Amino acid sequence: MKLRDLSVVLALAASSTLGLRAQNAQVSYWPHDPGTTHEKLYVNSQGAPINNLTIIDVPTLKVIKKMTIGAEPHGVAAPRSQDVLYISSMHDGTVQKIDTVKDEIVKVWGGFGVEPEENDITPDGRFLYQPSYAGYWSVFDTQKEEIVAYIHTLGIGHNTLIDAQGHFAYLFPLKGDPGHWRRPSLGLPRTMPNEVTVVDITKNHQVVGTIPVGDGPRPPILTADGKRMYMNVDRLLGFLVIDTAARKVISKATFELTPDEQASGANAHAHGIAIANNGKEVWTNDTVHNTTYAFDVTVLPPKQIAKFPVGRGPYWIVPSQDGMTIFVACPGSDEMVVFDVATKKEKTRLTFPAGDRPTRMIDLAVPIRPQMASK
Amino acid sequence: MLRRRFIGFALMLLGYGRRAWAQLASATPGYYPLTHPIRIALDTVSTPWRQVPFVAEAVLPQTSPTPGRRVLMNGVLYRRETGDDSSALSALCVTCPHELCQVDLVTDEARLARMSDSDKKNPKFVCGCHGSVFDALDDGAWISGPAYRGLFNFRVGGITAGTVEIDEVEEETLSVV
Repeated sequence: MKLRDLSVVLALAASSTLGLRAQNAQVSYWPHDPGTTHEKLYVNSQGAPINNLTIIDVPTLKVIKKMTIGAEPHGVAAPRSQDVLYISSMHDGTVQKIDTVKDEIVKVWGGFGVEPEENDITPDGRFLYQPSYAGYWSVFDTQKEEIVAYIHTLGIGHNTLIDAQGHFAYLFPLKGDPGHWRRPSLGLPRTMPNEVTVVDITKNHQVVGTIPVGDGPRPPILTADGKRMYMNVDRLLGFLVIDTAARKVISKATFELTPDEQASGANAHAHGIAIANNGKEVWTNDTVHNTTYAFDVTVLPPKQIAKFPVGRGPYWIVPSQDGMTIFVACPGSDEMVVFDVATKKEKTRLTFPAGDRPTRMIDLAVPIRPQMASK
Repeated sequence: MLRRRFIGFALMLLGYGRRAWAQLASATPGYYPLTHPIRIALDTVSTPWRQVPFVAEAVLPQTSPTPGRRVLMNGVLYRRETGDDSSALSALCVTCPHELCQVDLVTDEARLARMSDSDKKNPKFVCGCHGSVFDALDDGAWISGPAYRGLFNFRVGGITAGTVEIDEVEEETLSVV
């Protein structure tokens, strides 16, 4: 085999195994040069009235800044450049653009409907897919600064994933329950879907299919090549494995529960999912039993390899840029648990003020360009 | 004509009757016996808002979709006001009915003041996951947030020889948690 062919094969293998960073509408994993970037973790605190965005220096795990952004921040999304971050505010109905080099809010837009949720953005930073609880996604053109399309699904607009190639957007509506519908003024849909909606971004944001998943969709994550998706669903303490090309569930992982765990939370679901260790592992949370699991996903069905006690109500989980550190946000105990993927050991716990409820996170490799104007 | 009026009137009465029955049924939840009663010393709940945690167990009946399934429920017993009788005691399941996260009792005045959901500053249960708020003074009644109802209640059976006995749980708890 020629050296050039070998390098192509190696590059393809690497791209197919590199994991993505997180659950809940995070951007893809794009390799970066640590010398030219500053790795920072952005943490939303849904219960904090002020200082509800915490920025953590990942190498030292020290808080470097706290900012006040729109109330009840929810979605977090960044393009490949990672020099900007879009955060939606459930309470205000806005999306804020943050310059991650300076860590300043540079723009705020409204008009995204009732309770904007977990968004995602195309790798080139052009189109932001912003779901609303009202059951639709707004496609926001960040250059024109206007909504250029609306995509309606069944259910309540909630999670979004865009593949690293910028080809497909996956929309994950919540099924909803009487708690959502008790606010009739919001007009939330009661269609209760068990499916993921697939949109072709390159075909003018057209819906091109659905993936049946058997129950209400919950946090998802895609591999870097966009071929495989792992996702939580309602009433499953574990996760599904989906072949995105076939638009089909191909396997299912379930937690090995103790008898007492089986006797509580029978209707619970796992929440928060991340790919780690060069795509070989998937980590996900058992919110009810305050545990986080690691699975080997090189085999099907995935094999449980570790189980960790964490803080109360672990709900969101993201890996570091190299996929070798895992951050688990535990809003019930206002803390974040940090794991070393290689040793499968807890590294540290970061505490937040009581009642802040650290929730959704994104880990970014922010370019070191102090004079750069934001996009 | 008279017969049509009579039938119409009868149907109307039937409709009202059904509605009244449904409201009555929903207002008085059924209770289900625990496998073993929970017994807690009365003097451990002599201080208002001091919680005593417990784990209760029930086994689903043969008529349920999963007969014989064992169900464990985390609860707390606490006193709302001072006094020796059981009327000031609350025993609640601390699992949020929304997505089954655990709720916490908040008594800190500064935190209570931050909650915009209610003018009342009495202690409240708050769900860490999605922020549902429940009134600790009113047996965990729903105040705000995505939970579809208040916290599930245990029944305090009575106080015997300085011991509080908890013997039943709201039936709906078993199909949710």
